Amino acid sequence: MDQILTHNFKVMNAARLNAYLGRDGYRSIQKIFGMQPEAVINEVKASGLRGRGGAGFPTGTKWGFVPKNLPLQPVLCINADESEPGTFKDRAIMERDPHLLIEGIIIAAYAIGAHEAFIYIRGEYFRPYLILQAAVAEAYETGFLGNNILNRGFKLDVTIHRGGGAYICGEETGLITSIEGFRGYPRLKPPFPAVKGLYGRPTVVNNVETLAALPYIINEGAAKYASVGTEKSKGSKLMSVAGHVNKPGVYEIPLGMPLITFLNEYAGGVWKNRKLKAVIPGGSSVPVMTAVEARDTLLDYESTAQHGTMLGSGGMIVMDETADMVMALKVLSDFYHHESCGQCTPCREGTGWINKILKRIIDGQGQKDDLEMLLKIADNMVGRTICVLADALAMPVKSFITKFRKEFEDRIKG
Amino acid sequence: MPTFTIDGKKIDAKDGTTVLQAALANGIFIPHYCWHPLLSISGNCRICLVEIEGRPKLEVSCNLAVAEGMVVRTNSDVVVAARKDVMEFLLINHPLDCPICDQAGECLLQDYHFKYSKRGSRFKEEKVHKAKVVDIGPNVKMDQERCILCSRCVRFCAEIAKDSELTIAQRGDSCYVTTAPGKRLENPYSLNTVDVCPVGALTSKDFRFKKRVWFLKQVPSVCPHCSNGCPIWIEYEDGVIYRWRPRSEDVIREKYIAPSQMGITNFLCDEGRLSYKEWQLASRIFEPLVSSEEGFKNIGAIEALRLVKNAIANSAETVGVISAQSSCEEADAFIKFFKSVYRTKREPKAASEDDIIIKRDKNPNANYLKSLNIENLPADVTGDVLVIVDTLPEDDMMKVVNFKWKLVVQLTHDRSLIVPGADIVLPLATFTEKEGTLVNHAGVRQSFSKVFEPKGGTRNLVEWVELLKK
Repeated sequence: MDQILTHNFKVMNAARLNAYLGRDGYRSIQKIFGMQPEAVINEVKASGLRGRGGAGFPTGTKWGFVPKNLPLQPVLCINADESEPGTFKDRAIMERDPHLLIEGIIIAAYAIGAHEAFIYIRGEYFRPYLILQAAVAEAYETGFLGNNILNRGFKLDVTIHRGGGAYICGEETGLITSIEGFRGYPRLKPPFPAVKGLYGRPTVVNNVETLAALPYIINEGAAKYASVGTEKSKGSKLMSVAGHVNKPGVYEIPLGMPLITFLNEYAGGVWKNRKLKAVIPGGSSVPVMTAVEARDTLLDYESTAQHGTMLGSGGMIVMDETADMVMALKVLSDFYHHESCGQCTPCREGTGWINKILKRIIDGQGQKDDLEMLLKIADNMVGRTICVLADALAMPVKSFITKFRKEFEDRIKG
Repeated sequence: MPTFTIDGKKIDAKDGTTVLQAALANGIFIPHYCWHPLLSISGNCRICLVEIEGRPKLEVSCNLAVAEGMVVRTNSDVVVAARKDVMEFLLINHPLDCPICDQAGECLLQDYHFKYSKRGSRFKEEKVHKAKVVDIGPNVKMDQERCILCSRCVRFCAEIAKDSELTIAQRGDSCYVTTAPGKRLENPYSLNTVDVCPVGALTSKDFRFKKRVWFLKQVPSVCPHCSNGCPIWIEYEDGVIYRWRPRSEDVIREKYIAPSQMGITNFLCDEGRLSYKEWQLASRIFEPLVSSEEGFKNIGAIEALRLVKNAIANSAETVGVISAQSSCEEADAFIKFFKSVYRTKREPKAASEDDIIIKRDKNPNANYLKSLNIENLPADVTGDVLVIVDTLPEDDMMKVVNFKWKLVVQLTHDRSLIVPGADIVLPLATFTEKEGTLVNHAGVRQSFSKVFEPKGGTRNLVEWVELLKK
């Protein structure tokens, strides 16, 4: 497999324009200007590229939702908020190959007819922000961004907007609201962003990794991209792996790779010669898997779904046999409780309630019916809120307790 | 016009209406906290979740546009269960201090709990504690623990009062409504936040701890404080008015929705709402008064009438001045009785005004008097007897005080309104002690009802005129 997303990762100074150009950078821009925007959308549809932020929605289809011939110009938002615990793959792209992202932004903007793009970058990502900002400045200086890109008459301005440190601003409508200067509340849908998003304009929100795949698709063709991966999960994926492994880091894999192969061959296997206990495959909000479940799971959208979890953002958290699952769940609930925006009743109240019960169990004050209560609260939260933050805590709660119930029971018994 | 089915009932809905609106308009009640007919849709409380055939998740009916052929269930098992769950979530951190809460009796948490939940609490943890009795503005106090964060008050300030004084701070269950930095809740409409608040989080400083709401009786009326003529409920008990609240025509028409469930669909300015106090001041006049060297003295009604009638009978010219505070019926009777009648109105020096609902003209019936073909009080007015209804503004006062009238009679309800030089004062029934009609600035005729019988020896203007005729 070609290195689609990571081919510059080991190149010295690839973040600088000269090095990037020396690696055939911005080649796709000349090509798309010879294509109709519709043709670009069709190429991306044919590639089978799906959103890499976590939801896995087909990118070309998403672009197709932008209504044509509206009086308001569409806007492109780039989700670089990457705040899901366990996920740090977008950071790698922005630090090591920022021009790849900018190139992808130009392609996407051209396809949807946007002349403004806003990169919403996680506030804590200060170093990636500086690198990306320098790259944007270089792109302006050399005519890859600005009023008349490569003298081909296409205008695109890119603005980098730093977040203030809220997880919820990575939710696409929360992100839009935040850029507008309001509290980062996710918005009620409909209207969907494609129709009425940033400043009331049609808006597409794409993840960094999604956009970074576009230059390859344009340069090499949809068919070549689609030849990587599986029938329904096409292309490559960046996995960021952390936790009890020997080689935590960011790795590019073809979709469909067996989880165990990835764990052993890329991440260097479970550390300290210990046994695998649990894996959260795609960011902390997806259901946890036991070692047995992980054994025959493939890293693609379908196989993870069949195993009751999700590929999500590809932020893998590995836990060895010594991991305290009660404590792990409590830590997760600390996070989601802290990050609930507080808008919807079930999430605002449910995350706090769950957190308090888990704290009590950790403190040795657990009661017999606590586990049933936790499961009930989680059930009452799922699918009943504006965004999926409620589900993001409910799913770990349900999966941790059902799959590692004995550990919880033992903790309650004391 | 899409036709859709809700709880087995086929409904033709207007294009663009939501399931919640269509349901309410057709007598199907879906509970709601954050949705309010005057405000933008927020969709945060999640109590209005309904089931739609063919869709995997429950959806909030407040943001769900009706579509042709849509089948909605508001009472299926999943919906009933989801509502119970939302009620449970809303109450876990609520202080449950109904016995000392002013909202008790008109609280949507209480109402919905009994209607949709009735479940005891399963919450064993320490509740989240927040600030109580927060002084957020001249008219409103806030209890952040009682708040369910529906954001109605925040949206009211931003969207209706056009002054974003309120906001939500913090996140998750630490969220609380507060005033924006450096601001207080002091827009001219601040007390409407108390009305739109479905719970006891925002309370009126004027009304707090004065009366349990279930003792209050309601009479429909019209606010007489300015020429806008906002429909109101006068709420009273045992001869005392406790508060005025906005009244919506929709609520009256659609009787199946109790006002507390519907919330308001109209609003009042604070100034008008608190103007009820004018009608029950300590300086209220209950008996006829006659001026003497020691000031005004009570005088029997028979004696007072005799004096006034004699003076009018012996007067070559009796001048009547009718105020735009009077009802249409009063003005008609007055004009019929006196030959020479002029009009006047209250003109406070610093009259408030805006382009929302507050009108500069602080009289409820000026439009009607204008239509009667009577002149403003002229500068050179003369005669023998002067009969003033209500009171005179400073300008009009200057026109009459320097002339030597044989007798100046004033019909008014409060000592503070007596004009200098008045010889006899006949006590007038207040606005709340009579019924009648008013014509507002836009020419809309509205009737108002009597709340109490006139107190003491007071009578309304029509009756005084009748007595003078005899």
